[in-house]
Amino acid sequence: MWLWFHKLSSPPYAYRLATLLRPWFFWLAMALMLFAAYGGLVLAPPDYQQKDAFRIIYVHAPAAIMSLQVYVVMAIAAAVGIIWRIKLAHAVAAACAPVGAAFTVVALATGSIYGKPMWGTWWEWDPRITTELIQLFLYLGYMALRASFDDTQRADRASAILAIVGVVNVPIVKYSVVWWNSLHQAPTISKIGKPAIVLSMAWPLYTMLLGFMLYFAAVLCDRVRSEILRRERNAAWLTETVKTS
Amino acid sequence: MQTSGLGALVRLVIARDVRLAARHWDQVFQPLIFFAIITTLFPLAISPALDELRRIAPGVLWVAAMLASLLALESLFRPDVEDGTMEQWVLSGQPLSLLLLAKVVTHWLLTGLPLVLMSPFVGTALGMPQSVWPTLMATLALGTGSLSMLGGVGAALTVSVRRGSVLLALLVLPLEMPVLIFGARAVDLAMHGESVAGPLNLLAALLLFFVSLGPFAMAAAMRVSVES
Amino acid sequence: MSLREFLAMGSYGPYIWACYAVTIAMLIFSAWSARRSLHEQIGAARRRVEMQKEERT
Repeated sequence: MWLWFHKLSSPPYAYRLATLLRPWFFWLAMALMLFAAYGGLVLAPPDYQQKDAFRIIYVHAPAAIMSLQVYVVMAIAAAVGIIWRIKLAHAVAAACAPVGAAFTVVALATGSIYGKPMWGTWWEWDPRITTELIQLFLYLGYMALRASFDDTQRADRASAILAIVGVVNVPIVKYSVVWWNSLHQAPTISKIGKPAIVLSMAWPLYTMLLGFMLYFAAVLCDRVRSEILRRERNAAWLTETVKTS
Repeated sequence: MQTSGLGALVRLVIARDVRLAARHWDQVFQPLIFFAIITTLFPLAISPALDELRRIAPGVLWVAAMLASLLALESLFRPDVEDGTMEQWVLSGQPLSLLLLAKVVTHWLLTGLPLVLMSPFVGTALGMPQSVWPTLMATLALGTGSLSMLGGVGAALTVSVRRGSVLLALLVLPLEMPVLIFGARAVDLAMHGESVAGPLNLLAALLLFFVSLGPFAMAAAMRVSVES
Repeated sequence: MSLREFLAMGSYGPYIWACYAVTIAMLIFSAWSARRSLHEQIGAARRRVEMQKEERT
């Protein structure tokens, strides 16, 4: 098992693996997402209180969950890169950021649109929206810091430190915003959360989340391949691979 | 002069920074003047009525303190990096995290502490009652400490970036938001006569947390910035 | 349930479809952006290989 991990940290092996796996991840993700959408839009019965509006949760909640999950993956990859000095780990961290930011934007946009019929306004400083917004700032800050270094190695290490500091701060931010919000007494009790335990309503959510995770894996494959190509410019193994890929 | 041990090292760093600051008093005052100017903007922008200002005073003071501390961060590491001192420190074999912590502490004494002392006067200008002063100063003391630590990490990351001041703000402000929330809420609670034990303890906890882990992040970041 | 009723989603239609549209748009954009940068890198690498071959001959 450890031998496989060791192999995985070699760029040519990782490149080939990513090329091979991507179509599987992608098409499986598409299938799951379509199936989940069908389940959420057609099969699931309307909610007692929110009627049909709750169907937004099938894209909103998975996007929000992914926005946090991707950040954690990014931070772990960054930590692995900086502790064990594995360049590929840094490449993975760099690859995660744009996708994570995209999920965050989706979470914010769908959350805002969801809020209009539920709360009557396009924006509320609800704890979840606020922490998501801060999450977006963290992603953007990470990408901005990376971009400000010309040298890839320095960019890797600096942004790794930022990612680790950020991930430590995320629970602090979450807790502080909830506390802040509870002092202001949110205007309506938030109904956005895990839906009722009724299976017919729950399964599309989990399916969509799984679909999003596989989609993330697929996009990560492409982006990691790009990163490897960019970093290994002068490597000999590149010439052969590039001719055929 | 026979000095040895880490305590002596810390004292040397602090003494050096204080001496350097003494040669440029104007640079020490600039963030404080900035603090005063920012708070003045709000009565101009919103309303001169003290009743209205009183309600937003805690928030305004805290945001102004955050921005002033951000400005002050420019002078924390940049001069030493630019003249090569930092490189010597990194190569010296002495614990870099301790050296940088000493710098941040001195920086706080020269910028954060004056801010704390100024705050009652600025608060009064915004209609804050005298009864709130102890809470205001206590929360700002704890808060500016955290702001200096987090700011130090951000400053170490961006010190070698050309025109990195805006980037510094982008990186550091989101991380500082919890400090802002607890600090401003504490002062707000005090103004309503309620207990501030909760947020005050949280601010203290945050400070302890950042002070214990921050120096290592700062040292790692400084190594990246300085080693070429 | 007719198609019209389905699209209307009990008067919440515009909100629901807007959300799904935003999500789909982002998913497409994110995947396309990753693919595009990959093709750019492959193209650049190929060009470098070509130039190295020319230098040798």
